[in-house]
Amino acid sequence: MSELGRSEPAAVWREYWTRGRGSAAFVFGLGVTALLIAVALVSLVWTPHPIDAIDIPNRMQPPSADHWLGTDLYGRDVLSRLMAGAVNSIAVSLVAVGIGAGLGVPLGALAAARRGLVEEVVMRFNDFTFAFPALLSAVMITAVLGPGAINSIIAIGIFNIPVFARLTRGASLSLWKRDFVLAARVAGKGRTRITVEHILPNIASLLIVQMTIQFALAILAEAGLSYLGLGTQPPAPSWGKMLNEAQTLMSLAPHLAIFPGLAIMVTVLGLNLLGDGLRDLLDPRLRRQR
Amino acid sequence: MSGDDVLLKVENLTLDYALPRRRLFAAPPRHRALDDVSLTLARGESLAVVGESGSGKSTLARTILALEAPTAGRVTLCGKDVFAASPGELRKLRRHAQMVFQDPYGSLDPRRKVGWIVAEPLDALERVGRAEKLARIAEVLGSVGLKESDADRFPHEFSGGQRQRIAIARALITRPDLIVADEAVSALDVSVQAQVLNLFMDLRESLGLSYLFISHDLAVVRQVADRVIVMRDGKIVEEGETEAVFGAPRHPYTRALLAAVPRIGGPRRRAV
Amino acid sequence: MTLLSVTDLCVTLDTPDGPAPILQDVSFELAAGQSLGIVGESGCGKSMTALALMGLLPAQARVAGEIEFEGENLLALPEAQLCNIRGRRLAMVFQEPMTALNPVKTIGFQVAEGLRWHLGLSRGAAEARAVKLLARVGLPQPRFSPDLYPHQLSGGQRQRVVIAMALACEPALLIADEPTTALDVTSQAAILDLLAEVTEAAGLALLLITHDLAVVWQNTARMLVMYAGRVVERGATPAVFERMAHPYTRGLFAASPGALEAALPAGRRLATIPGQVPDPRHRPAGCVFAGRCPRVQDDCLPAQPAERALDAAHGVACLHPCLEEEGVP
Repeated sequence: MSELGRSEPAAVWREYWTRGRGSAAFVFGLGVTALLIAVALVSLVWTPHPIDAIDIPNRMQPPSADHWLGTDLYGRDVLSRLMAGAVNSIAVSLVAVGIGAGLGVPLGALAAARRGLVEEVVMRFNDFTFAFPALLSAVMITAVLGPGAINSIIAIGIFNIPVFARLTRGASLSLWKRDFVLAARVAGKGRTRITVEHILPNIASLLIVQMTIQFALAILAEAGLSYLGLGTQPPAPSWGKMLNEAQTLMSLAPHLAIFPGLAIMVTVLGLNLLGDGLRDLLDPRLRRQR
Repeated sequence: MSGDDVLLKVENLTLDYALPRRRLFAAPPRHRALDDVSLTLARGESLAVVGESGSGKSTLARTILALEAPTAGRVTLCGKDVFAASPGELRKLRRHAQMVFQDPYGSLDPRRKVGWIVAEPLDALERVGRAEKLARIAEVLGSVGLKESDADRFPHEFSGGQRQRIAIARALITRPDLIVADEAVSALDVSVQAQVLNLFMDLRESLGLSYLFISHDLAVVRQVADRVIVMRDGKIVEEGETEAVFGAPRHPYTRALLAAVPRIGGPRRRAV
Repeated sequence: MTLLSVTDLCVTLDTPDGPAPILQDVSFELAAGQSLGIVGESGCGKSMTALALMGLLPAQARVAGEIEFEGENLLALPEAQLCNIRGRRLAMVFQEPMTALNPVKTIGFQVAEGLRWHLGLSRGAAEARAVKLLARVGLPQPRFSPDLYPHQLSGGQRQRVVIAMALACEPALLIADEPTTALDVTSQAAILDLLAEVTEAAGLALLLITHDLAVVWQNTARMLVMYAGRVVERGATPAVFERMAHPYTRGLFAASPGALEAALPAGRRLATIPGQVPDPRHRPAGCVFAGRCPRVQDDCLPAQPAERALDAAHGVACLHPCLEEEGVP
């Protein structure tokens, strides 16, 4: 009776899978995310048409058998550019979330392990960063550093740091009070070693969920920056840039705005559903009860 | 008591906690969790600290193991001042004193196998080869009545009593002189509690261990301790040989404590 | 007059690894104003019995049998009617007084809540009654204002508030599930004194659930010993302690350090019950205690022994019960 919510890792993963299959949101989210990654990978080796093959006579064509999603202002294939744009979105978001987690998690873990002055400094830095509206500040940063994919990664990444730092600190603090951590201290282990061996493995599931959600936000942010002309620069394909170009042609060729818009919407929706599904799945309170 | 026989000496230990500030610029109020506590534990002796919640008994245990820093006072373990020791020296001292916690579910990392958990103090404190490590794991698992093959299983596969055996095995692996047991049997069912108490007694005989039992359960204390210290509000109110304290308590608080313990065969409250 | 009558109560939990019988054929009766103790170790089903009585079993639980309370079968009642009985005629005191109270409401409000809900009292009338109830359980004004919040009280004082809430609507039966396990020994004595006093004064029946044999001895007139989902011994409390006919009862007693009058001589050990409680999903066919029993014989293994009467006030589910003179092992 007293064994609620405690299981061996391998069995836990099997159980997650069995339970996850039962949740429509989770299955849909996982499916969309897998499709996105698959499309991006395929585009690296093959696209229906070369992504920057200009074909002025066939410009602004609506969807057809040859061009499934039509062509843009220069006659380039929209589907091919969307596929290649997925690579761009994933790459930018992945690195940005990587920066956020890579710096935020150690900072949060450090704050929880050290407490005192270190914690004060880390958390005040967090509050400082949180106080700025994220997208506005990203615009500011790219305006200062100059537009481009690398700078938009940095801008998005910086605003992911406090999210992960705060989450890590909060979750770690409650673990530091647990007896098994106290036992490790009695055993003579230092704070760094305890963090690596006990704290981080026990908050990993939480971090994974947060990463999924931050990933969706980063995709939105990247599209926003590109739309404003501050992100990925032409001729590299980017969903945000495609929307920007479509804007003036809305009445002539609405499909140019609809398909990139749909791509962004479905991707963000899918990632959010995946994150929500994972959150439900990994929440120990919702785990199988005996 | 000659100097050699003293394993642990606690002198005038005082510990204040800062409470949240009441006003922004006022000094934060303080709570005195330990108030001038002194005690001595001889090698091979079993000493119990009893008291109710808030008496400071658990804080005392944690401070002795250098998990909390005292406001004033000294703790001397094996002749060395724990709070004057360098980090390296402190690590050497930790081999001599290990701890067993109350909750057998919370004190074992659910993500680690038993072998890893049991060997944790060894990994942190000593440099031993793989073969010796495995031998030591097998040795301590054997001495608490578990099988060598249990090292490959996860904590959730064990019952509460078995988990407490695992926690005891972890405490034994550095071959310590002192085990601090903080309410180590109070979360266990009666029949399992008796098994674990017997194990403590067996280990004391076979390994010559000293115990510091922190407990609220007077009946348990009576069976395992040579001497008893009664604490209240961070202070020691009574101290003496176990049977003397139980047979003829001097302090009114000790008397009240003993009178409150329900006894089979004692007075009854309800006839219908 | 019989107040509560439980007949062949069976509770089965559906788990992913198959059905787990948590309670099997539990039957007992409780007359108005009487006290009954249920004692056993964790997993024996004592808390499940309380939850079944309150109609608060988890959703995966399947229930069979009958729980008749004041002439109505609780298991057949719709939830709305159950709500009307629960809290008004049937009250409960839980183990953990902190979680049983709402941290953001005052104690006066929480005691008054039941009065307003069940008895339809006005706010003013309910709060005036709440003040009286708080004084009744030893929290008198002005020292204990009804405007205090739970965190401003000690554990024992919080448990007094929970008892005041339970008493509010003058129920007929009070179920106390390990009411003092989370408390210090001095608070435990005070709370048990209070429980005995208020139940006896109000003619309230008491069902006291505990793991502590000494608490049962002190506070109940009759008792049940449960093991692995079954009642293994029952009777008048002094009679059960005098004979301890079931080997499990005797083992439990022998293993309690509190049962000893003095320290064991050097080298002696506490008596133990070998092994552990069987997993409810894989219980043996025969006597549930057979696997750990020092008196087990071949005839114990085919089927669970039926309960038989040793005398008018004492029954045991064992084929080879211990005799009084045998002494504690």
